[in-house]
Amino acid sequence: MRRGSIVGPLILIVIGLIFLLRNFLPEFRMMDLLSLYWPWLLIAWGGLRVVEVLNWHQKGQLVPRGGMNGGEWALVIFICLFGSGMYAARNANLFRAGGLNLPNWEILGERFDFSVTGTQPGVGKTPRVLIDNPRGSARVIGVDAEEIRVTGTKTIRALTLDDAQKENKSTNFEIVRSGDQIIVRTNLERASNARQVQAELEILVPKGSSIESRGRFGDVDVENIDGTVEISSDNAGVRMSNIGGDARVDLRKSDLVRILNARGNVDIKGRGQDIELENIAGVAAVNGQYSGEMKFRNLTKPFRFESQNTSLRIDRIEGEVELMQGRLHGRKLIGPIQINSKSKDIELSDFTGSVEIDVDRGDVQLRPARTALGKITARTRSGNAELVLPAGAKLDLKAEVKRGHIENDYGAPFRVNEDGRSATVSGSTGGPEVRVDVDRGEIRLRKWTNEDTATPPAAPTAPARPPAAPKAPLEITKQ
Amino acid sequence: MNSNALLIRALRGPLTLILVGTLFAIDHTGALSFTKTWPVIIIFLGVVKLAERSMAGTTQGGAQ
Repeated sequence: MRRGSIVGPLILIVIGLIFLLRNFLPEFRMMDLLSLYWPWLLIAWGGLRVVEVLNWHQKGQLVPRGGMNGGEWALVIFICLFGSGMYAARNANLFRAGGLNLPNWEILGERFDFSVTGTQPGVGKTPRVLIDNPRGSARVIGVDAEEIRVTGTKTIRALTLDDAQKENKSTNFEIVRSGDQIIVRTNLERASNARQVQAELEILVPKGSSIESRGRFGDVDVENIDGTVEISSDNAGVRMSNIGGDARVDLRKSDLVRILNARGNVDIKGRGQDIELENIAGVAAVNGQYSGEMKFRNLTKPFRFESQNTSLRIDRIEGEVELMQGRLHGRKLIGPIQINSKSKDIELSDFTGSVEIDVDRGDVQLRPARTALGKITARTRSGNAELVLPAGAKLDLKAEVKRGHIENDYGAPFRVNEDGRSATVSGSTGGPEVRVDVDRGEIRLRKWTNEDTATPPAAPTAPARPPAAPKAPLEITKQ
Repeated sequence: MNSNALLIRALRGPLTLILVGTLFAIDHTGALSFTKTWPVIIIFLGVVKLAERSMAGTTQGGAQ
């Protein structure tokens, strides 16, 4: 009689070890690892069984027909189904960083709504307001008044109404004065289970207020505020419009940051997806990692963008800049412009002033405005560069390809010089210096076509676009 | 049936298991989807059957 397989006990040991690791190391992400590497379990199992079969065979023991029995196959099929399901779920972002994020907000208990109201009269025209709502969204609107008025809903998940009422009492909403600051506080962190309580607030404040909002989760909308606005949150979408002072946003995670019509400086920090800035009269700075689309329109003071792989400085954006993974498009820009990136296709059109571009990998297309050119330095280590010039442009060109070739569709006075794998093109019509360097790729020189001259003036200017409505309008329901 | 044929038959299951695991691993790297590569399993089973037949045909049964 042969002995049973070694795989059974091994599986038990491995399962035990995995759970033990999970319990002792909080950063051990079991679900993540399992969903990625489960096929290796099958491979290991198969490998072990091959060794076993060979071993049995050599000893002349009875070898099972087919090598595996029906129960084992059933377990394999179960692992395949469960594994692919987990893998699909992981890719659909059901599992967040840090492990399985159970949607316990929706599944535990019943939902009870409590209305939240509060008024603080006599706060003057320019109070400093601090909004402290850990979970849930807040909408702040500046109005002509000298009081603060809050309405909203607190939603509590609980098994019974009694529990919900107790929770409601312990998380008593309040507006308090502390020095020259008015604090609007939901006290949700006092709940016995903080994840089960959230509050949606609508806050009317005097137009001249300065706003500071702190939270962990929930969107923040701010409208018509003349003071400064400061928002920090772990996870929030932020929308602001018509801000008189500076706007500062610091987020750990966000789906959208949109600021329209700000008269002060704008400072955005953190991580997230989309960013939209439009009609900003102050200096704008964006710092962090953003995976979505970024649009910057009509920024009248210097603009700075800084991420791990890209840094960007533009003196003024009269038109717009679109920035996303792998590409950067700019239209109607005023230099000095400075772009450094590891990997981006860059397309600039209708720009004036000096330009400095340095990319490791990516194409560069430059289409300067008809008016006087500035000094241009463009360099890509791997990619194509295209320079589109209006007829009769004044410049002193020197372009070089280390490996690749140059195409000159512009013609005289620029001359191409090919030398083995490298090539240069140079010539001068008496203007600022324009240098293009490509390590590996192609340089193309051409004149404006009708298309190039027609598009820039025909495109509508940015300010005409009305501010879009907030993505998720707040509904205040009372019960 | 000689012992070589039996050996191949016994290895059929574990090798299939390794193949399935490999195909899923490839699927997860994003190179080739399992929905495209699964016929490889059928081909593999066919090849194993062929090997069994040819082994059964040979008269000599060298166990080592």
